[in-house]
Amino acid sequence: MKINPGGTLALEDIVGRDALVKDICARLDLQSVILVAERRMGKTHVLAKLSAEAPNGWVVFRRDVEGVRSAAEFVQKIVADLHPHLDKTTQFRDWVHTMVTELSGTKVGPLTLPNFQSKHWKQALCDTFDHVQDAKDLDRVVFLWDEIPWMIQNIARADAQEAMELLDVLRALRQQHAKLRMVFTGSIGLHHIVRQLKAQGYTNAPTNDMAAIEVAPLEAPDATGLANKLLKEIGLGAEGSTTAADIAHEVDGVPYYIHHVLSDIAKRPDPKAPLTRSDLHRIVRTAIQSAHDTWNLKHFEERTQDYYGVQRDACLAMLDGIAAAPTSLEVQTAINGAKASFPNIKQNDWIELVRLLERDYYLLRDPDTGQLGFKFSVLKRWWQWHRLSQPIMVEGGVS
Amino acid sequence: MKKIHAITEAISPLAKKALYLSHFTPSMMPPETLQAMLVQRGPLLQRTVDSVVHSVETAAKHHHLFVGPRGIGKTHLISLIHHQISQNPAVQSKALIAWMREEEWGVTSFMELVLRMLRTLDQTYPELGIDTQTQALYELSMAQAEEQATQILLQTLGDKTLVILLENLDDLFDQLKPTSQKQLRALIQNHPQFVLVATTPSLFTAVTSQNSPFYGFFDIDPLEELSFEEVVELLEKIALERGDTGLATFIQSTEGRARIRAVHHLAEGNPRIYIIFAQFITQEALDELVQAFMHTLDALTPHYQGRMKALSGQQRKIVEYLVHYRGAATVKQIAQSCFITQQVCSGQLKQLRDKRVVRAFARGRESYYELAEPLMRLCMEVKQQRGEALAKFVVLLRERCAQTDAAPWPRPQNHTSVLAMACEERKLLEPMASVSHPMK
Repeated sequence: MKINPGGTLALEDIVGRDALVKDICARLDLQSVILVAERRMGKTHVLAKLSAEAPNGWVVFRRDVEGVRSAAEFVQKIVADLHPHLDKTTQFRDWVHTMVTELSGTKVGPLTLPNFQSKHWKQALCDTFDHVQDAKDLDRVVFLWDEIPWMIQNIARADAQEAMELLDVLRALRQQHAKLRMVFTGSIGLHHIVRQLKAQGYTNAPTNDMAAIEVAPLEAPDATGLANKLLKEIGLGAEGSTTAADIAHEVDGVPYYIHHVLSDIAKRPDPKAPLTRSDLHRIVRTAIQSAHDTWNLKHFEERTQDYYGVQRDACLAMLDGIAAAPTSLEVQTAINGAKASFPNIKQNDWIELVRLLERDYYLLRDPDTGQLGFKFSVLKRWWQWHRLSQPIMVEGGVS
Repeated sequence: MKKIHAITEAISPLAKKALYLSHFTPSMMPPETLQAMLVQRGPLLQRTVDSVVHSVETAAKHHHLFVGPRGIGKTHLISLIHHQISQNPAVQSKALIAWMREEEWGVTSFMELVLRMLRTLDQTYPELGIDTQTQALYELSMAQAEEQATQILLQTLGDKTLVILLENLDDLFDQLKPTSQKQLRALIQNHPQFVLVATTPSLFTAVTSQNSPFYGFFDIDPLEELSFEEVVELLEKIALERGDTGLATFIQSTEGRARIRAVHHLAEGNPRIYIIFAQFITQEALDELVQAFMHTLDALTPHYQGRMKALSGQQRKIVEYLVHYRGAATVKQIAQSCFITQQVCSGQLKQLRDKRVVRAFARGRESYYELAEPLMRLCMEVKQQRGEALAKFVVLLRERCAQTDAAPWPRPQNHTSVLAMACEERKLLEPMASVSHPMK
């Protein structure tokens, strides 16, 4: 296993996702799923593992749909995926042939698939899934659609109405066809795209029939195991060493950051030189403080513009206050702190803002005490350094 | 000395006669020469080659992005990566390589990019018959051609991996609309048989913005400037490649190191500058310094003109101000002199910092900005008929460096020294500067 921050991992190198994949499969037996997580948490790797380890009898299609620009193109991709499984039935072959004759076709590999026009895509999509329902040898058909929010956004930019209709049709199909399951995921939350559509008159809740499952950071033993494997790759994984556990702890168990820390260790002039806990702290601190933003942390601040719009300043005030506090805060204490700068915002709006900040992975409420703190300590340290100019503590003194 | 003799023995008589050092297109140089001239980047080269080979041999895929200003050695590095991976047996049997040269852009859509990949592959592997397959694309509609071109690419690859070496990725993404970028990423995600190794002069929104598909996609390595010791190593290697053992020996002497330190004080570690400088030095010329230095400035002019052309109008205005001001200035001062608001000025200075054209340091509560490469200013001085004064300044530098093994005005840690150096320059150059300064 090689250090690989941001790249694609081989299946055997995906660590600590066995339980999650089992959980998703169990849920998919009952209903469709939305995988939610912060960016770079490993959603795409979870899809890859799910695709490879799905129960026998399931037919799973995994596709990144971010490049799709219209509902018609999306339907064409679905037909292309299903074609090898439905081609045995005469009805399906005839249907495709008729559509190609009527609409003309595009060669996709060895196949010629219909060019669905904007007025035909809905009917074509429904017809396709009717064929799935009729196919006796298909018990469970699961579509794993990665980057579906970007696809909806692409479509909405050209035709918002078409994007709304596609979301509604997909929901209707999930209701109609017991065999069919969908998994949605993406780099940006679908709720942000739906919110934009709602601003243009959309009133439906297109995913309220789907179970949301979070791809969380790795559990401590898995994160430590990953760090250990990568340390061994550069010749540093000594028995009995706590380095791997320290790395996992320093970066909250997020696999992307674990790869980054190891990448930084490997880039030292002598990668195999002994690594003290203090060295490790300094490596993490340097990455967090870096003006080059090599760990891509700045987006947490930048995206507040898109996510919170007119409430952005209030949101930043709240996050600044929580970052400045030495410990977690009572929710009301955090609100009161931010309220001092924005006295005209109503209590209910503050509560809603806290809820949104939790949903967007900035904050986490302690399940026992209810106290509010940053979800990721890495982000808190970034916030303290870059927004509050507070030093980051390391062993033997501050920066 | 033993090392010097051993290397000299190994150099062919032809290499002793003439060593072609390309200043601006290192990809045209023989890989052996590029390898011989490699300093600092050896471990990075090895890591990257290892990870490309790992990508070819396993299902894992690593994507690399090297960031550094013009002249820092990006093409040199990419050329060596290309050379080494093309020699690797695993890559030869399980991969194809598409080296997309920096001169090739003009690609504005995903389909054009795929076509460019196919054309590059066709040039490298004519036996694959790609050209005959792509002819039919021009008869199709845009959407159909896009789908077909992608299929041709995938069929050409079969189960092989495509290693794409891309230079100036920022230019490419600047022209590709976000939808096309998403199509490219979708291709890579849906068919995990692509490996990108790319370069860019500075980071850009398409990789740094969370809303962009390639955010967090690359393992990013900033390419660092050369340290003084690495410069000495580079110049010695070039001398040895030329078979000039006398110069190689002089470079390692106290006097030779002092002369190089004088140049290093102005060149600030940009490898292209030293490669140009190397062309003009013999043992005597290095010792005398002034002529070699002035020739270097002359040869560097197109490099800096190119860098200026790559800047926006407002950024050029700021750089021009700093050239004429000859020192570090505050945002307020720059904004005032360029007739722009401080907010606009801050934004432009941030971009100039990202491009490593300027650098900043804090003094008290104020941030000061100055040109990151003093030679940029001096090149423009040469253009404005100030060669004589510059020559005097080089003599001064030469003398200062001869007195000590340390830099005459250490930078950038000691900012007072930066200002001291600026004052020293001013004393020599001010009379002529006041004549031509356009804004103050």
